[in-house]
Formats: sequence, C-alpha cells, structure tokens
Amino acid sequence: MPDPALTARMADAIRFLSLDAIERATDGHPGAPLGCAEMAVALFTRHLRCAPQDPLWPDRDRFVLSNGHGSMLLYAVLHLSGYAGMGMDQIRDFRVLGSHTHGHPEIAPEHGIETTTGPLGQGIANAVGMAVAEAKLAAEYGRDLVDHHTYCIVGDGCLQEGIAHEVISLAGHLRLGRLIVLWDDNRITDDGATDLSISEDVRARFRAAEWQVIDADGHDVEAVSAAILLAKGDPAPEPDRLPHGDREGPAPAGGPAWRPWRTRPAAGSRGGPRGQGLDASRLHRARRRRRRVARRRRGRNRDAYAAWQRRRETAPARPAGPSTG
Amino acid sequence: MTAGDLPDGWRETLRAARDRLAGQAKPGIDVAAELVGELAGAIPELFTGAPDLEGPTKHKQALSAFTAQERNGRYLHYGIREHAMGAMMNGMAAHRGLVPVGATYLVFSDYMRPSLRMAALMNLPVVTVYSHDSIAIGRNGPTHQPVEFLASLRAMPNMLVLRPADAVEAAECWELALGNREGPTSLVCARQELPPVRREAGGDNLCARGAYVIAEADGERRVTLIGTGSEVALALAARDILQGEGVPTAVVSMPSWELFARQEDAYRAKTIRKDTVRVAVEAAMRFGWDRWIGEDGGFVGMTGFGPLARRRISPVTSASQPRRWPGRLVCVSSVLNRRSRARDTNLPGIIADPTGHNHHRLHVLNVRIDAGARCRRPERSIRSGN
Repeated sequence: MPDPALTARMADAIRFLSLDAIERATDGHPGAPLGCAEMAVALFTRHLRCAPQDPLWPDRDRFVLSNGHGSMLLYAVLHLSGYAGMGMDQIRDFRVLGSHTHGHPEIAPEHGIETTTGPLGQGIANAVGMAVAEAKLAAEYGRDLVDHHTYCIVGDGCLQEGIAHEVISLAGHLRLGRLIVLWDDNRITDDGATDLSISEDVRARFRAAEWQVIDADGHDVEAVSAAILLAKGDPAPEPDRLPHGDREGPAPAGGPAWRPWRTRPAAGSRGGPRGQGLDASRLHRARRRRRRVARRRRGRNRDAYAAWQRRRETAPARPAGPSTG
Repeated sequence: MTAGDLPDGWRETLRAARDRLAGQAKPGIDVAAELVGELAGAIPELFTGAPDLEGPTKHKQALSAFTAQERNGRYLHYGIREHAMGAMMNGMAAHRGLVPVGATYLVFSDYMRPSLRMAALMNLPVVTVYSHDSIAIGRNGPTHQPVEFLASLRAMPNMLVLRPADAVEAAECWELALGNREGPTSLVCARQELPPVRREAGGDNLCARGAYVIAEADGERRVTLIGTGSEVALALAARDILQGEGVPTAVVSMPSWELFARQEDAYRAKTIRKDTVRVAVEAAMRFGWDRWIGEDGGFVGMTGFGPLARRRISPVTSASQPRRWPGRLVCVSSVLNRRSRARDTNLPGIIADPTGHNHHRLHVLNVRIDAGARCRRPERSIRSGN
C-alpha cells in the first residue's frame, strides 16, 4: 500500500508537471490535468495493474485518456509511474517535434500510451473494443492468463459525440463488466458551461444502457478508489461519475460565460491558475515530491507480474499458439 | 497474446482456396466471406462482425456470436453502429490478441470514417471488407451506390485499398490484407457475380504488384485498358473487339494503386505504357485517375451520383450536346500519342455487361481519336439503367 501522505500529494505533482510543461510549450490544455489529477492518482496508485518495467505485459490493465487534449495528465502520471520512455526530458519536450509527448497522445504502448486519442469519443470506443478483446481472450485462455480491466477517463465532450452513444449502448448490451469509465463531470466544454448545448440526464443515459453509475468526489483519492472498487464488483460496465469543482480555470468576478483556460495567457504573466495563488516555494516543494513519488511507484505490481509469468510458463501449450495481429 | 506474427499456415490455406476458386464465377462479397470462413480456421484469433449486415455480407459463416453470455464467440453483432465497429476494432487491434475484421457496405464507410483515419494514423492492422461497391448493387438507388468512395479511401495516407476482379484476385487480396501489419486495409468487393478473369491455379500472387498485365496485346501494343474489380471483365471484352478491329490492346488489372505506386519505375513503365492510348474503366468517379492515365487519358466511369431507377436504355446518336442526367457513363476520348502515325481510329468502348445483369448496360461507344486533336464529344454516349 503506497504511503498515503505521499500519494495524497501526487495530485499536486501531476498538476505542476503539467503546468510547467504547458507553460514551457506555450500551448496545451490544462483542464484535465488540473481537474482529473486525483482520479489519475487513485487509478495508478490503487488499481491500475501495469508493469512499467515491462510495458507490453499482455495481461496489464489498459488505460485510455479519451479526452486526449488533456495529454499532460497522461504523460505526468506515466512519468511518475516510472515508464522509461517518459523521463523528465520528455516532459520538458512536450509538444516538441520528435518527442513522445505529443500535443495529443499517440499510440505507443511501450511508453504506456495504449491508443491515439484527440478526436473526442474515439478513446472510449477504443476502450470498449479493448474490453471485448479481454473478455474474448479470457474465455479462450482462461482467467489465469487473461484477467485485467480497461479504464477510461472521459470528459463531457467525449460523451456528446455520437460514437459515444453507440459504444455506451453496445457495451451495456454486451455487459462488459471489466470496463470502468471515469467521467469527469465538470459541466465544462470549450464554449463554456455544458448547459449551453445539453440538458439531458447523462447518468440516466448510462443507466438506460444498463451501466452501473457510481458517484464520487473527484478530488478525493480515497473516494475515487472506493468507487472503482465498488465498480469492480459489478458485472455491468461502470462509469464513475465524479462531480468536479471549479478547478479548471479562472472565474472572472461577475463576468459572463467564461472559457476554460487552454492556451498561454498574455505574455508577461507567470502562468498557473489565477485562482490558486501559487508561489515559487510551493513549486519547488512539488518538484521534490515528484522525484519521491517516482521512486516509490516503480516497484508496483511486481508480485502480480511475477505470478503471472509463472502461470504462463506452466500453462498448457495451445495447438495454435497465442499470437496477435 | 504477445506481439508477433499471424500463426503459420494461413497463407497456404489461402493459396489452396485461391487455386480451388480459379475459373469460378461468384459474387465478389460471397468469395470474400467464404475465405473468411477458411481463414477463421487457420487464424484462431480472427474476430469479425458487421453492423446489422450479417445477411448481405455473409461474414459470420460458421462462427458463433460474441455476446453477454457467450464470450468465446468470434462474430460481433454491432447493430447499426458502423462508427462503433470501426473504433472498437481499433481498440481490439491496439489491445493485441485478436485479428479484427469488419464488413459493411462501401457507402457506409462514411459512418466510420474517423475511425478509419485513426487506424491509418496508428498503423493498426484492421481489415474492413466492403460489399456493394458500385452502381451495380441493384435498385436501392444512389444513396446506396458508392461513386466517390474509392477515391476518398485512396486519398487517405497509409490506407491500403484493394479491389479484386474475381475469385482468384479476391484470395490474393485477402493474403495482402492480412499480410499488411503496418496499417488498415479496405477490401472492396462487388455484390454481383464476377466472371472469372483468372482461370489458372497456382503461381505468384499477381495482385501483390498492385497492377499487372492480365492480357497482353496481340501485336505491338497501341492501347492500354486499365480496369479494377468488376470492370476488368468489361475491359477484357473490349479488348476482344479492339483486337478484332486490328488495334493491339493490352488489359491491365489494377487491384491496388498503393501497391503499384511502390513498384520500381521499370515495372510501372512497362505495365501502364505511356506511349499507348490509356483508358481506365471503373464504375466510380474519375478523381485521381489522371495520375495513371494522364489528363488526356480516357476514362469510362461515373460523372455523378447513380441513377434512381430502371430506365429504358437507348444510345444517344446525336453529336450535339448530349442530355445530361445522373448516372450516365461518358467516355472521354484520348489524344493519340504524337509519335504514332496520324490517322483516325475508332475506339470502341466497353460493351454490354457480360454478366447479363439487366441493371446496367454499357453500350459500345465510338470515339474518334485524331492525331493531335482532342475529341470532346462522343458520337454515342453510354447510359446506365438501374
């Protein structure tokens, strides 16, 4: 069990890594890193079964960031998890040609990036496909060798695209119980509040498709972790609905509808969410935290990974051996 | 489950099927589906499905369905959700462990276009089989008749587009599709029966070159007819007429532009010879074809959306402006190469559909080819009825 004090600060580490990278690149989307940091911490420290030392471990859990424009969230958490290809040089080279840290994530499973996302809705649909693959392969090879979950973080935008309606419907129909979608319900998209364009009960839409819907405070790591645990116990696919506070961007006093901060503010500003009152000393402490968190994370899941390798070695041979396309 | 190749033996299975199918006339999609059935035995990881088109695409074969209750199925009923199918196949391919194949109508690729692009971007080996690939689909009308889809799929980087001419080419194209591990493949099939254009078993995979001379000219070649898919048979029939009139004509079957473009210059130059009159035949828009036939090349194909219903067919003999309506196939004449001797030549066009379908008859078109002149107006135009 990771040090609670340390993981509690991991969210700040994710935020600062992301803000630093976006500031340096002078472009990027800080919304998801700022808003979904605790969700990522809960996933990666409590639940996601992956092996950074063997990123292509076939029985790893899959994680998809469907709102791929929030790519720094993914890169930050992969960096902190110790993926060799996601070192600090990659964070510094966010959005630089030639780096692995593209503006939107591009498929590179060896670096922990399971699929390319960017166009909203593609990621959650890929995740449904991954869950189908897991279920089919488990039936073929047995739960000793195939037993993992597919996690997906989505935003409001992903859920509006038509493809999301299609796959939510199909995933419920197929009862893909190992698919867990974490929905950052912050009611914000690019134009502003979502009620500019949508007023339906999205939770009801999930329930209508026979999903289990669990609410949790998205900024409480333990609450998110408990929700995921609850989700794992149910055979229906689950979106964890995570009510989300106003952490995304500046809220001008008394102003009209505002736009979430995406690109760099005017030259000369220090960057950072203006509502947070961050200062240089906090920045420095966050950097030290990042290094400590990274060292602790690299040892995760070693036991599970080793046990799986042993099971694989002793598994009976198949007439046509396992292979992929 | 780990990164690797397809299991051994699948190519041999396909080659054996190809040789067995040589000389048989079958609907294009039926052949593709039959081969899926054989491949499912050779490749246990093959996982297919269709968006509520199990009947027309026939890709379920003997496979059982993957459902909430039965996880060992290998066919997924996606429902009328093409986009879900496309993106889920991408997820399966990214996950590894399955070889995903999907089947739908060519016109409905539009519903899954973003996921096709993502597959190409991600270099995912996803195969989508398309049926009902032209105006020859029958009487469902222009909403179901693709005319611009081949051009648009060919326009997509890293998308391998294959359009086999008969059962033998279908087997060869399946081999190319599954052998393509670097990106997605579109396998474009006809709904209607395709007369065999390759009758002999054995030999290399000729489709692997992208285009090849399926019938060489008898004499010093003066005309190169290039056909794809269901139109190769028409080109061969036209060749017979031209040879009979003393015009040595070669026919090139061109199942894949991308593969042909990768061939060495010498092969391409001798296959589609620029010193001959080049005419392409494809029941689709001309867009993109000038790359292979030149701006002055001849093209027998579509100029708009397909026709709405069956019409009585009669040739237009007036040399004045022909009446225009959607679905009329027009043949644009070609300028004879300047190096040839200047003389008038009648170039008979494509004769009536040899499959005997009443839906589409492509009448003979006489076109004047004057040395150094461009004939803009055909003497007779072709109509297609639906």
